[in-house]
Amino acid sequence: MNVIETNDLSRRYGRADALHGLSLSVPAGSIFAFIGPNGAGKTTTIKVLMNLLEPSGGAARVLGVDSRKLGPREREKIGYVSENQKLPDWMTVRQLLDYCRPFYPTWDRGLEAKLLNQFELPPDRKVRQLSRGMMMKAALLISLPYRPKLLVLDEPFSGLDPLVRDEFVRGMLEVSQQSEWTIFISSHDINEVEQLADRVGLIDGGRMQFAEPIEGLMGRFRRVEVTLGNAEPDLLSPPEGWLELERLGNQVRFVDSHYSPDAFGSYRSERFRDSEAIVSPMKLREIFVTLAKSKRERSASGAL
Amino acid sequence: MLPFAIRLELGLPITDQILFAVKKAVVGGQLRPGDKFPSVRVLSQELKINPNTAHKVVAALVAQGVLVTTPAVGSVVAAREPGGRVEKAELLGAEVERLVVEAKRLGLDLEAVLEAVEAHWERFNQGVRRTTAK
Amino acid sequence: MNLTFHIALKDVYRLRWALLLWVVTIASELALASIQATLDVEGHVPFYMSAWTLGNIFIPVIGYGLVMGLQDDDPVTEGDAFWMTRPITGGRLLSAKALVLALLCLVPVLVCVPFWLSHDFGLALLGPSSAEMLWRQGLISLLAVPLAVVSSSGAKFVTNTLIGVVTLLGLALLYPLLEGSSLPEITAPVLVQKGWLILAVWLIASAAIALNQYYRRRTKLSATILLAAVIACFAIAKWWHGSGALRTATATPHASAPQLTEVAARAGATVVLKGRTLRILSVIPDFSSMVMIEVSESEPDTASAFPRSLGQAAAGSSAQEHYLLVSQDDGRAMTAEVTRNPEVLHAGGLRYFRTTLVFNPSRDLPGEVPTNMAPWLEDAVLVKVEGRAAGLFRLKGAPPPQASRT
Repeated sequence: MNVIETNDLSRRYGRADALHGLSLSVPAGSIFAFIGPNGAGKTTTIKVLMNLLEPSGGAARVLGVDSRKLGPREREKIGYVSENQKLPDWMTVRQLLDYCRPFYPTWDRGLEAKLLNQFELPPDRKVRQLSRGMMMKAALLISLPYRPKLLVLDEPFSGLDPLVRDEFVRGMLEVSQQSEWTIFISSHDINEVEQLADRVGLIDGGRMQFAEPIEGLMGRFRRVEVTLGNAEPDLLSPPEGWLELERLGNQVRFVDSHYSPDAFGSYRSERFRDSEAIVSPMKLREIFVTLAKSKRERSASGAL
Repeated sequence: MLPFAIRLELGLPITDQILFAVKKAVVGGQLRPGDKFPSVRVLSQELKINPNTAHKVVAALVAQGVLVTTPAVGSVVAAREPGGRVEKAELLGAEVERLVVEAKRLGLDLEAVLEAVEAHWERFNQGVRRTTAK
Repeated sequence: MNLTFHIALKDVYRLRWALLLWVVTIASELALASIQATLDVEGHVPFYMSAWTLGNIFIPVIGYGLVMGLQDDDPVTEGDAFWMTRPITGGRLLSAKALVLALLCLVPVLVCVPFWLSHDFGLALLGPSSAEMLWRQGLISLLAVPLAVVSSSGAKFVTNTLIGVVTLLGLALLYPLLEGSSLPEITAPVLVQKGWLILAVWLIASAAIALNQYYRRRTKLSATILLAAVIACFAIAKWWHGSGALRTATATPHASAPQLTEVAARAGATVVLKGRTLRILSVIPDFSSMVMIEVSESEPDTASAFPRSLGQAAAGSSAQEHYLLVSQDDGRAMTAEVTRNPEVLHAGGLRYFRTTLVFNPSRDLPGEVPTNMAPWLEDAVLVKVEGRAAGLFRLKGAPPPQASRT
């Protein structure tokens, strides 16, 4: 079952499209990392999914219902944490918990107490007096005790120091129960999501560039460094998957975005005779930067 | 805290990294047969990884005979023969590969690498002798 | 616990200090108004002014602000408000807010009820007075609601209010410039009709806007409705000529129930009867053998709110009342020349006014007129006759007073 599904989703903003033809799906029980540069449309997508904005075209389904029809029954199973959303800042942490609790029939007071303790939030301090890190923890705190089926996080780590980030992730994982718990997280902080994500989706310019399992993605990207011997390399019409191709003296470097040992073997023998090649895996963050750069350089979004 | 040493690196598949670390700990003796292995939940929390990944890791360890699931206790380190020299050397493989790659980048040949290894080996031994002398 | 009450309680808790301030302000107004009624002409001014300021500025403004305070914790404009991502429907939120809004309208009534009871209102009068007070706060809320509901924050609400005020001033300036009858020419009934129609338009627009914002959050549509309502109200104000079918009775300021109020003719004497208070401030037997009595009165202030207040601008004081000075000793009575002080204080559901009564013993007392009226006054009572009874009353042994013919 797909907990989130969008089909050709679009959203106009003035005369431009903030989202265009966006299709993605998030299977139940997975952690989906939604990455992309600033202004790519991550927050817009999440707002449409949460029915804070209406789509201009296409459709989105969340927990099996059309996003436009999201009602209390679905929201009882959704947790939402966003760097943009303001909590009622006049309440104390305790009052905030007291206010939210009755809305969720599955609220577990034991879990609430445990998380409150774990997050080390002062219960009698007003929300407006909390530091940014504590405020994000508070926002997470009120989104977990009812064990939501879907947790949506919009830039939850921005402005948080590493210690708080750590606590935040621990809190998230505290409640995890496989196949009952889906997390949709958009983040600039790609290092943070690399270890968490099952699937990765990249959005740029309002369009989905790809969405695939992280192992597949990390598996098909390799940084290749070739030290040439005596023969000249054949760099004419390089395969589409090669990015950032450059030649420096007797070194040729590029990023292969469609790596497989067989493919590598064949082009290595065809194009790089008598050479030494070093193939190294790439961090998700490096993959992201490479893709973002190459998109800027290309006029149209080609195959990635 | 986890009963085995590990430092996760980005870029490499997490499953492989953990499998490797666990096997190293078993072979090296930090994990002894019968020791309780952390649950999926604890693994996920401590390493801050996806619980699905932690689940896959434990499943793989069980499938490969490194761990055994017992009904009441959970996952436990399996009894096995003590690691042989060849096996231990295999586990060193990743480190060796890294060394080789770096050497190639720097343009060193095999001889130079071996010399460097010997030098560092000596220095390490001396360091050990220095501390035990105290 | 019912979730609607849960949300409403949250808002009441949040507003508790503002509500307390409001209650204190209302109570202060009542106290100041009561005090000023007991003081003579010079002394009462500061209290009168304070009561007036509280009643016409502070209390409505706080009442207006409370509506904003109610709204701004849960904005219903587009965005990322806290409630929008929790299991709260627009409908439930609207119900919760409406509940608190009703409570807000009730607060002034609750503060005034003990006050009214101490003025011998009785159940018959509590009803209309409560309704009147609810109506007044309801009008203020009605003004505030459409603006609050389209404002995304408290600051925006203040801005929108200022824009509203400026618009109102602009329209007021525009009014005489356009073709059509000018205000003084319009008759009172037509004026009142205009008032009711404007009220109806505004009410419908407010309801539409509230429903639109809480259910759909289409702020642009709401702004359009608001603009259309303002234009419609202006058009009605300017060009509505009245319709016989819509004739509404302009309520007379004083109830015409027969009423007889009696108090000893002494300075400081006070009588409280069925919501009416009559207090004698001073009794001055004048050297030209007139007797001048200063009287301070208050009575329930019903049917004086907008839009009926428009029709009362032209209406003068009621003709159906007389003041008599009657001697308990021999039953002789004098009628008064009544000069009503135009200053009327509307405060706390009461109307406070002062009257100067001049009695002419040489005209009304047959036989010998005492040179010193003081002993005569010792046994005298001041009697106020109102309503239908006034026409029936006759002085014993004296020609019928001219006043009774009116």
